[in-house]
Amino acid sequence: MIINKFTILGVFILSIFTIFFLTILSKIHDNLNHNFKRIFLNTHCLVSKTKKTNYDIQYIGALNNDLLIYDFRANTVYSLDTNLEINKKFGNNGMIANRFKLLVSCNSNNCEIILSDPYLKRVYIYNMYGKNLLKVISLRFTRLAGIDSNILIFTKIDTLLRDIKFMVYNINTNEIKEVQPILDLHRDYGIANDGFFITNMNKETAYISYYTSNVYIFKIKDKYLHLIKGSTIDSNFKYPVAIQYAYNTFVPPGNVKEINYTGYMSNKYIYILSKIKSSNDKLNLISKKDVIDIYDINNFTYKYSFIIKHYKGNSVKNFYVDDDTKNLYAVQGSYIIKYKILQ
Amino acid sequence: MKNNFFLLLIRIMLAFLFIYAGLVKLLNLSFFRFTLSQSPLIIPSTINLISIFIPVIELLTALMLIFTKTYKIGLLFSLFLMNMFTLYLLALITFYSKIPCACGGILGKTSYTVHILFNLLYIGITLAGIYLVKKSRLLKT
Repeated sequence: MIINKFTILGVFILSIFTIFFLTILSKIHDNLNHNFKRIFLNTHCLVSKTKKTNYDIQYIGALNNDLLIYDFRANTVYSLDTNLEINKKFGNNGMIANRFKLLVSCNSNNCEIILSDPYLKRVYIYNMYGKNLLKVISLRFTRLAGIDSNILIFTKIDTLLRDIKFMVYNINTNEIKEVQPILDLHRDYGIANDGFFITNMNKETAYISYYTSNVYIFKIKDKYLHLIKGSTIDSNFKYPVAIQYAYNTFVPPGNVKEINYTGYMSNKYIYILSKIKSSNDKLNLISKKDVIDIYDINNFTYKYSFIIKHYKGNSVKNFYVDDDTKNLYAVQGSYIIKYKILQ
Repeated sequence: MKNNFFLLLIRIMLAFLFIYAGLVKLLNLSFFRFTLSQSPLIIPSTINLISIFIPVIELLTALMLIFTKTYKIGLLFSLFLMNMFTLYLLALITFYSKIPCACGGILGKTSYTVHILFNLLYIGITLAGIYLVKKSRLLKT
């Protein structure tokens, strides 16, 4: 007597109800968690100086009292003063012409500049202003951050486990150590399979995911490397992300939504350019302006946010903030713009 | 005799499907959890529970289909699961796009349309099984 019209109908209704219940529950959950608010504190940026360049600037940072920019097309590093005038320039001395490279970090303590070649999987360490190539290292990395001439931090994607691993490479001893297997990422909103590294002059490095809200901060304390996990304020925002892997690299699908775009790390704060609109953002914020969220470096707590307007229709591609948080240097299109941060 | 043969065939087909689906999920649990975490219909805090619950239910359904005493409940469970999976897929393609399918094995690699058609075929097979059970009961009485 188990199988009759009513039980079959009951099974159909039960399955419909289960999916309906799941959908409603996830919608309620999403609405409850998406209600994050930014603190603006009337903070905004005013253009103080602009400079039009012909460069394709992929990196902007600081070296001693100068501003450092990296032209991807010409594979050249320029040093600028605070008035945005070029005072020094160095290339790769014609050694590896037209080879795609990225400036990953520069260190004022030892005056070193670290470049990476993601295709050949090589790392180049130059001394001050690239006068001499100190070292060339072959390393299988997915993303690379150079702390100094002793330590390199890199990510490696395990295609088999669909996992990301943070590795530390000791240049002197050629020793590679895994910092921590980040398997618990499966329980978050997907694997932090791609992101970017930012470093400061304090030998600290942060890894910020593009497509999730995960942030990892690496600090050298008592000769040990510490890993701190944090998340950006849009932490509960869940986007449908389809993951594909091809030859150890992450291929984002067309409709994937970026959460974090780029960032900068000073000795005190981490600045992250976010692509997510908060519930109190007004005036079509994300489409015509850029929002930068500020976090404390020690415990990764959110401080406040500020806005940068698009310059001649160009959004912020990269930026650098000076240590006293008074000036911000942004790359917008082919312009380098110096902003005054008003608080 | 013919009915019994077809009913046995349906039970074997369904049991094989659920054993395969359940084992694929359990053997690659971390990947199954990851794909579930990408689903917009599943609350993140329930992922661990669901990732165990679904393959276990699938294996239990397969076991129920194998044994003569429990195969009728197994057929109902199978109908429930196949209905639920089909509706879940329909909800995904209707309201969202480019969501990775949490189904393991070969089915995870097929398109949503093929997957839904496959599910509908198995719903039809299950209903045919239920019909055969009812028919054989009527013949007995």
